[in-house]
Amino acid sequence: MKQPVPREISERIPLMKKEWLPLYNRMGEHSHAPRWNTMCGDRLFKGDLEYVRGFAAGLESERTFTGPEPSESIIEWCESMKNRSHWFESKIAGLDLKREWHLVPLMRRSDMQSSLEYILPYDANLSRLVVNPTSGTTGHPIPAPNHPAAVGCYDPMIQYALRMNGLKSSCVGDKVAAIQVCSQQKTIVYHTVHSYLDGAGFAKINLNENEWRSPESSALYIKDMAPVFLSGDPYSFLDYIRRGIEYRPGAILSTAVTLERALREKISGYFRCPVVDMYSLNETGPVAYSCPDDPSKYHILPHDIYVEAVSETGEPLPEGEVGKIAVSGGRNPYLPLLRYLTGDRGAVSYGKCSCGETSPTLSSFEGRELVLFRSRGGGIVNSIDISGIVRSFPVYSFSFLQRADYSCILKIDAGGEMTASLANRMKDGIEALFGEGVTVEPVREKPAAGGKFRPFICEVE
Amino acid sequence: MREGPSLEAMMDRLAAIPPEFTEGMGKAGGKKSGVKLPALVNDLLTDLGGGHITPEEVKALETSPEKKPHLEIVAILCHIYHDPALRELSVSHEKIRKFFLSRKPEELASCIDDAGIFITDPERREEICRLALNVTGMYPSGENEKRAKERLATLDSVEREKILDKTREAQKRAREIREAMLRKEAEEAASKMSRE
Repeated sequence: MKQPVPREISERIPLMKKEWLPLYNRMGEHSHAPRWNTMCGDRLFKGDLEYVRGFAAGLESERTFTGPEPSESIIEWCESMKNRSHWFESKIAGLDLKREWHLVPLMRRSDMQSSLEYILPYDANLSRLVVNPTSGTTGHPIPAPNHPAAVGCYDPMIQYALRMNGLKSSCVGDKVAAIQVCSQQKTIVYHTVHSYLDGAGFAKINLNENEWRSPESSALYIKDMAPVFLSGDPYSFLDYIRRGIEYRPGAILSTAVTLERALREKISGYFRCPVVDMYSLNETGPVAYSCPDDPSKYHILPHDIYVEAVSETGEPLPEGEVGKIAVSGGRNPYLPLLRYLTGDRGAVSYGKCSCGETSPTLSSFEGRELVLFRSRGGGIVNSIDISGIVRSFPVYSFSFLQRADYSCILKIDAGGEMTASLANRMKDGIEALFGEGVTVEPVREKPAAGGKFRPFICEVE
Repeated sequence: MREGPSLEAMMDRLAAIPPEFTEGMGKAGGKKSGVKLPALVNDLLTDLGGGHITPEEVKALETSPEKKPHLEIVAILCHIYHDPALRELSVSHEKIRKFFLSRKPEELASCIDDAGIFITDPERREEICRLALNVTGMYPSGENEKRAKERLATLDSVEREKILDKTREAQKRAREIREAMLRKEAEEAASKMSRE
């Protein structure tokens, strides 16, 4: 008799099938598998999966982007949210959205921290709420609520972006679709399968050798799993290259911080496959993906968001003019977005691209930068590790500067609940990342307003 | 609905309301001089072409300490409706009579401590002028029906009270959300192939 699906798996992957177990177990029990430290699944039920499939169909068929104005569907959606969210009720009452969209007040990161209860629809059932950790690269560690069905929509969006960039292989079925590569001192690592991809596998791993049985294990594991694509932040790919891991996937999906040109060339030269940079935030989900013809440009990815470039006061800017990026719409039932300022800058333009994409284009994009810090011994400290520590404390926003003499200043904006003893614990945690000879001085100070906010600065040569 | 007079002009006129309209309220019938509300309403309705108010209506408009803010609001409305610009547009005396004797002035009064706020506070002044127009089937000149209704809904004191109630509910909701977030942050999330 075949083994039934173990309960700890079916709790996390409710649609798990027995025939997916061999792959699941192969990923988990491989002789060179990392030391898994958590379990995770897509948490999709039948209705959720139908929703994700419906979204995937819309992603292909509803790419009718009209122009600079919000579409009818976005306006209808905003009007419907007026009866479900205090935020929408108070911000758009009395406005003719079609004519007066520019008068809709902007939603900021601080609003998500201070007014989440006004944004979150009051009829939303919280029982399905999930909180995905953020890498915190923006300096604003926002724990955004999400729904498994909305998280499930990442899969079709990623597939779409990879396919548009030339990935030919399918990610569906009895194979490992992806491995997410991390390079951190500490992070969660797990393996799972995704129902939307008919049981295809996914693993999140950390290249840090302390997580593996032997120094060669990470390379051997990745080679044996043969994922269709690798995802990660640019630093993790640099670490992958530095370690000389030979496996080359069908595509690279870079996220979390902007993939700068020099880094792209290095990664592209090593992997010799399509390299896709995806602009995605915890609060918004995927927003845009890099154009295969000109990777300095990004095309809006989902069909159910409205992206605009706005001035400081919220005036929509003319096509091609650089401003703050604001996003409206989306599919997260716990976080409806109304002109949400992502903290990044860019210009929006319209018209069909040479690559075939018809969605609006983001150009002159100024997203989050990859910043690496130095320990006295020459080691590298990833900004994501610093964010990981800060986010476990009640901090609204922060910035981190390492001076040329290696000393560091951590500026934090926090409320009364951030006590001196908590601040000391945070300082100790970050100093431990750097090791001997690097001090961290926490300072209470709001990040400077105006211009582009840079959460991480390293002045060490 | 049809287009009415300029809202700005109505509000300016209301800001300059003679003090007797509200200050004297409650003294009618006494030794000191003051506004006699039934007489004021009667004058307005007859000026607009309607009939005299009935003894029952007089009784409803007679003041008492607990009805004071409510009747002061009616007095302010009398001043608004006496606007020559409105009278030129032949506003409906029937609608005004019905409005004065409805629960609406009382509901408005339940949201405030002093009816003077409908004169001194720009938002409340706008609210009462818009309400006066809306009751008679008009919207301010230069606007349309939808815009006027939504703006009135935004200003509506009674609705605002309801929103405050909702706010109290929202605070309860905030606690629920924070608790759920903390609980879920400690648990595993849903698997996704990219990071942010």
